[in-house]
Amino acid sequence: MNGALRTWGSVVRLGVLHHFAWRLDVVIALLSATMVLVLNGSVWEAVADGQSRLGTLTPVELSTYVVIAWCASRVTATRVDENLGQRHASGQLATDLLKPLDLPSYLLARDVGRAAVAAVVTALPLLALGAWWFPLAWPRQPVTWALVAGSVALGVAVGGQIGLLVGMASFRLRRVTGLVSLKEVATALLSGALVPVTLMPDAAAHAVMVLPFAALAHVPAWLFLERATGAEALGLLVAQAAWAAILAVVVRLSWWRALRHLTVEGG
Amino acid sequence: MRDPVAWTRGLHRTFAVTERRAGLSGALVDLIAPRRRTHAAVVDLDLDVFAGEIVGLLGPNGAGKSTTVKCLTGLLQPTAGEVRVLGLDPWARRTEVVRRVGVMFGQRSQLWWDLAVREAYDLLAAIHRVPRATYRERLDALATTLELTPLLAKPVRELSLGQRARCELAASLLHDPALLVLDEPTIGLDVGVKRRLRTLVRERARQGTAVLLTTHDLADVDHLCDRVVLVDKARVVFEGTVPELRTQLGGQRRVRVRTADRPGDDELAALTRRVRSPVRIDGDGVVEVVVPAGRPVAHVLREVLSVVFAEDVSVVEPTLEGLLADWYERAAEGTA
Repeated sequence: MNGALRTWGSVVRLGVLHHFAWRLDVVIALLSATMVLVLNGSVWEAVADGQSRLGTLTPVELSTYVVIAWCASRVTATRVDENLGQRHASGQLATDLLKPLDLPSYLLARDVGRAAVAAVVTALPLLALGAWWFPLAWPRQPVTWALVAGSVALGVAVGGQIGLLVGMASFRLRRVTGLVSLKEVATALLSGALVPVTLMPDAAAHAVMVLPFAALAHVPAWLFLERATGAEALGLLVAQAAWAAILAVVVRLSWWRALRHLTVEGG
Repeated sequence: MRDPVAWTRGLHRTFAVTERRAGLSGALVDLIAPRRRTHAAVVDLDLDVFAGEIVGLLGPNGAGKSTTVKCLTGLLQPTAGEVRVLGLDPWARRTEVVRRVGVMFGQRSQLWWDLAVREAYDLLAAIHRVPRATYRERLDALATTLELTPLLAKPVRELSLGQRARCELAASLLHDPALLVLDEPTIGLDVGVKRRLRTLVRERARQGTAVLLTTHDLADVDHLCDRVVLVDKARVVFEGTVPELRTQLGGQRRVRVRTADRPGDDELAALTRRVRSPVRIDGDGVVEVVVPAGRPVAHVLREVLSVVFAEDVSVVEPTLEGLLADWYERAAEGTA
């Protein structure tokens, strides 16, 4: 087991090192995320101006939701799809398969490293900036922080699996970029990262809550607001975990299929 | 006899290839009803690689070498036939097999572009679960042989081709594989790097590693291979040692004699009769005689010198390169 720990620990570390190898990328990602945060936060602030509540949220809660959902989405936004698609297009997949590793697990472990970097160098600075720029409603109970952290971690698992599926879907296409932007639009609209899920029409909000995307931004924000506490909060985490598990099964089946396609048909 | 480390029996591999119709209307038809054809990349291939042996897999581009290598490393499932590496089916048990196989592609990297070489090695060692102490020993030894020490702190993307090739070879040996597969390992390298890589590969084979080498660099073959397998159009057309390959390809030595006075036509005709072998003369008065197989060079030389007055004499050995080039050309014309 020690060997497995060392192996996967090293792969997570690779994800971290890989990110730091491109320092300018990190800076640019932070800059663009900052711009989105300030713009989107200001838009919602203006919408809520003079109103006592927007949906069920007070203006302060709304700002908090927008900031936290955006910060969480920067951690859960995977690059696995792009990475896998490029590996397939460039033929790098062949050398990957010559390593005694399960490739989906390897890519997910790398993504955990990426997410850890994003949490520290993107999400935390964004949170500090958001707190300075907008009025925020901070959690009253210390346990909320743990719930939010757990929820973001589960969001990383869900996001990574979605990314793997998008990457595999691109195997039959020339480029992965089209599918990746499709996923990014779907994520931005359906996760709560830009538009609070609670402000959507009831039917849409219910539908979104059933989809896995809510795990990427809405759930952490909702927990942060302490709108769900106790059993209800745990229920949200369980739903995230269930999505991670369901997607893991789908990823496994798709990977077997993709691998068969690659090695049997030579595609 | 010992069991081979890797073997194939009756290996077949076919691919479905899409054929494009000509023109714009053809492209439209292709969109709706693509035309597919089955292409046999490897047909009935038997191959053995024993421990301590270096086997060269040769053949023109598209002959089926890469497909064979991919079947041996589990990247492709054979359409028919059997493949075993260390007794295991590489396709069904790829992860187990690649733990014991080292692969180096001359044209592809197994390292991580952004990482320093040492970081990449640490990661490979962790992936292959090489115990830390063993890993340090191996890396020290490889770093000494391949002079990697100054490269270890550099990111892979900053290495020159020769530096990268050295680093790649070391990477494929860190887990001490029982089978080393080298796919065009010396492509684009200078002679110094080539020599260093060859020395190390020889050394590993002496220590018992089975080596399968595909290359277009026939100096690699000459320096390294105990045995060669020549494939063409998906089939094995020759298997044997390098000297046997030369004989098979019709490799004959030639005696070249620079003459002081250009011999006349009747003198050359007389010479042809005496040596019973083709005689040529070029514009500078150099006479060239093919030494027929099985006859001593000295014998032919004596005959030549009895007819012409020689200023300088040389014996030309056929290069494997030249022989194979001739053979590929004949094969392409369908006469070999």
